[in-house]
Amino acid sequence: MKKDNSKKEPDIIKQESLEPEILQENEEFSEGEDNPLDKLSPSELEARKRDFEKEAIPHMKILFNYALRMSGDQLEADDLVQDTYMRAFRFFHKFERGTNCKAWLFRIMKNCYINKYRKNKKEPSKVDYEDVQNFYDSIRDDVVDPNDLEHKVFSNLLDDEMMNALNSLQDDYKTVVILCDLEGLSYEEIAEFLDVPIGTVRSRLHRGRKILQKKLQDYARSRGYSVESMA
Amino acid sequence: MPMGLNTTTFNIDELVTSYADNQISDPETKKQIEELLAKDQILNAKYRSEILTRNLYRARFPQVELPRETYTKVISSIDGIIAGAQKKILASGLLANTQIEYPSFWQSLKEAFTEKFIGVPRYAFAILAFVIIGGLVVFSGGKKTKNPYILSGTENSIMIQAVDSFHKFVKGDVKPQLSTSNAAEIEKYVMEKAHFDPYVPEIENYQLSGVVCNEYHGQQLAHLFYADSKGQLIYILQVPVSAIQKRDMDLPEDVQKEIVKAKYYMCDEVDDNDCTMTLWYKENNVCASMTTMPKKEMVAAFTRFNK
Repeated sequence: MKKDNSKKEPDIIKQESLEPEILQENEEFSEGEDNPLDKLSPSELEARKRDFEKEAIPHMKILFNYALRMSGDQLEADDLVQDTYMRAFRFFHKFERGTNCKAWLFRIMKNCYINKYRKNKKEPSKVDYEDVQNFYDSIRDDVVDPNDLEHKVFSNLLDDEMMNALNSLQDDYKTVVILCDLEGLSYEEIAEFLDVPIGTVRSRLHRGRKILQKKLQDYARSRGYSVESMA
Repeated sequence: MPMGLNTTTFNIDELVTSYADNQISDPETKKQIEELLAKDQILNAKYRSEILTRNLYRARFPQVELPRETYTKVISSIDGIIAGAQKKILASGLLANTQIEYPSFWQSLKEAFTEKFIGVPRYAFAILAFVIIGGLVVFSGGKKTKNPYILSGTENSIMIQAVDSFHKFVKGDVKPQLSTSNAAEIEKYVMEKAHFDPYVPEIENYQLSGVVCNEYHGQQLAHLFYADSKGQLIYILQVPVSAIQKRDMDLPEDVQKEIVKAKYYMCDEVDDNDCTMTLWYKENNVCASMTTMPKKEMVAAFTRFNK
């Protein structure tokens, strides 16, 4: 069901809990249920295919991009998109017409990712938000404009280093950073995709970016750049 | 209504994140954040650093195009799911709703009279007229058949199409479009002309002689021909199962049920040449074979080639 996130606007000024939630599997799309397609008549199957092609297939590009950034591997992204669409087709009767199909597909993909890929994946060490929350508290008052230097230093970082930094985020943070910063989605859309309040999106995004900044500075430092004046 | 900043509960750093992403719609809140950014150098540095990080990621990792293989893979998977579901439907006999044996022509008439229409004079009269006309057709040199499905079938019936096409082939009215004994060439031809994958069996003592593809009301059909050294013929009409599901072609539900139950449906004396007809499902196709072989011989031949 479509979530009315506009009603949750007061969350913007509410303090969010500091701990990120662990991405939970959504039982709505679990494979435990008998194949719902077995109950359809041939004409219903054809009708479902037509609707699905119209509603779901056009969103494949954005889902592929998300899968690629989450998994960091094109083959895995390929499989993830395929699994998502196969499951979506099976459970298409659960999609409510007129609601956001992209958000619905995204929830299925998140579920597939949790079910299969994340379980099999060797987790890189995650950076805890607590470790970096005082990162900017140390900014010296006399540093008027550290951003020019930061820009130069960060611009010299390699793509791999930036991707590693992204992969070091916990899934909750990584998801919102990918959706907002790489896919360019609004907070409202992300909130609908993740089925969380807008305030939670904002909070995770803020923390995710903060961790990224810290991580990028660490890479810069390890490559010999002086980052003292930046922090 | 403008809300402004609630200085007791807000997290200013997070609001700056919203501001950086242009996600604050309340003008009052926006104005207050801008004033804070102008006054507070540390907050301003955080704000600019956050924008820098975001823009750096956005620029370094732009959206990639969806690979064609991914798209193709997804579409084929969905087609595969549909084909699997259709197979299950056929296997579970959902296309055939009843559990009864298919009735003979005379049984059908008897049931119609005794159970359904007895006591309804106009139906009784209509059925009596049908029996008389049917009798006249049978005994006046029309197609001699006892098969109720051929007697009552319409033009889009697979059984009728098989009988008619076979007769045209025997009379020489239809010639193979491709004459070959090579099964791979036949498969390729059908794929190109009729856009489905045919089943081309090897039949002992018979040689593949050719194929014809045609279209019936938008539905593609393939006709395969075999002959032996004594001039005996085997003809196989093939149609994708989806044609029945979409109601483009007709196959009586009782026949479908019989195919599911016994793996095939066979009847003899389907025409005045005492030909035998066999119907079965193979590789997502409905196959309807006609032959001049007697039923007993055809059973033996069919069970050998249709493994």
